[in-house]
Amino acid sequence: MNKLFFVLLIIILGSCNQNKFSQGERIYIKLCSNCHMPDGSGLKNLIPSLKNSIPTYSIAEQVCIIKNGVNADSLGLAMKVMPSFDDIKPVELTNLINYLNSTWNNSFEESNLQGIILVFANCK
Amino acid sequence: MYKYFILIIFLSFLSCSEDKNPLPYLGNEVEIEGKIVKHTIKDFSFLDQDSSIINNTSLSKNIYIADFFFTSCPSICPKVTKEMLKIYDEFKDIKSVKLVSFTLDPKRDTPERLKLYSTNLDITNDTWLFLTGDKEQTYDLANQFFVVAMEDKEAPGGIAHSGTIVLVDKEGHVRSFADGTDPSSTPRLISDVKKLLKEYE
Repeated sequence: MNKLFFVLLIIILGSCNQNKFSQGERIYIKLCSNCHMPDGSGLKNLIPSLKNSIPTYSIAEQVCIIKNGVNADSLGLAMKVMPSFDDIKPVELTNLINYLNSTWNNSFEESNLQGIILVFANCK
Repeated sequence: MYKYFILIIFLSFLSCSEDKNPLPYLGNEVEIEGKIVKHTIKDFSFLDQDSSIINNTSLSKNIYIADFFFTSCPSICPKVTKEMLKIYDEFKDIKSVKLVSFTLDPKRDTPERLKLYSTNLDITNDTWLFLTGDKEQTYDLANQFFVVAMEDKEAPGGIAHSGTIVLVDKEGHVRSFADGTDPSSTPRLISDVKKLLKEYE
């Protein structure tokens, strides 16, 4: 009986920590959710839904979009830009990329810090 | 069991009586030429996204739901617009209801840009008006809607403002409002719109 209780306790504690990328989620809430919405649904044609757009970009493309922002004028949108976040810390960016892709990309592979730093430095 | 029964009866009375309460008139009454007058939105005149003139007279056939925004707003505007969209979806086919979004950045937000913005939002009829006009008039008007708006270099996009969504009746009185940045406050505003519509039946 005691053992069973112990096992249950471990399972419960484990389930609390289910989202590995909760740090990335916090950065998402802080930097992205005002426009892309907390659930990533965006705003009609004005702001892309991340569910639809994340799978269409490679990790490198995502990193550079976050770094440089997007000039939305070129897309025929009334919202002027997605702002650039070029002062984001590499650790934050890695957590954010992992959160975005674990949430909205079915073919998710975890990115590591070194890889993200390299891509970030090589954005045009 | 009996206790629960009493409780339920009591609760249902509460919920019924709440529904019968008319919407309040918000804002201070003022004395004009010896008469006590309710807070009323002053006369205004703006251009909508189709460059038509919209003023108090053209809106007086409608109750309307107003907010203040600007198209390049990087902070709270998209969230508020999302809530306005929910309200639009609820009332888009009801002729006596309008949604009115005033831009706080009239210099950049021309009727053409507002047209593009509304097209991007899939707004296809004239239920939702996006208005641009004189800047001073807009900021003064915002205060009458109890919306805080001011130019502030420190604020994102250069304009600090609150995301309040305001319900105005056909006579220009403010009757209800919601916090556009808090999605949980929108259903109450929608039910207040329905309540206000009943006043005119």
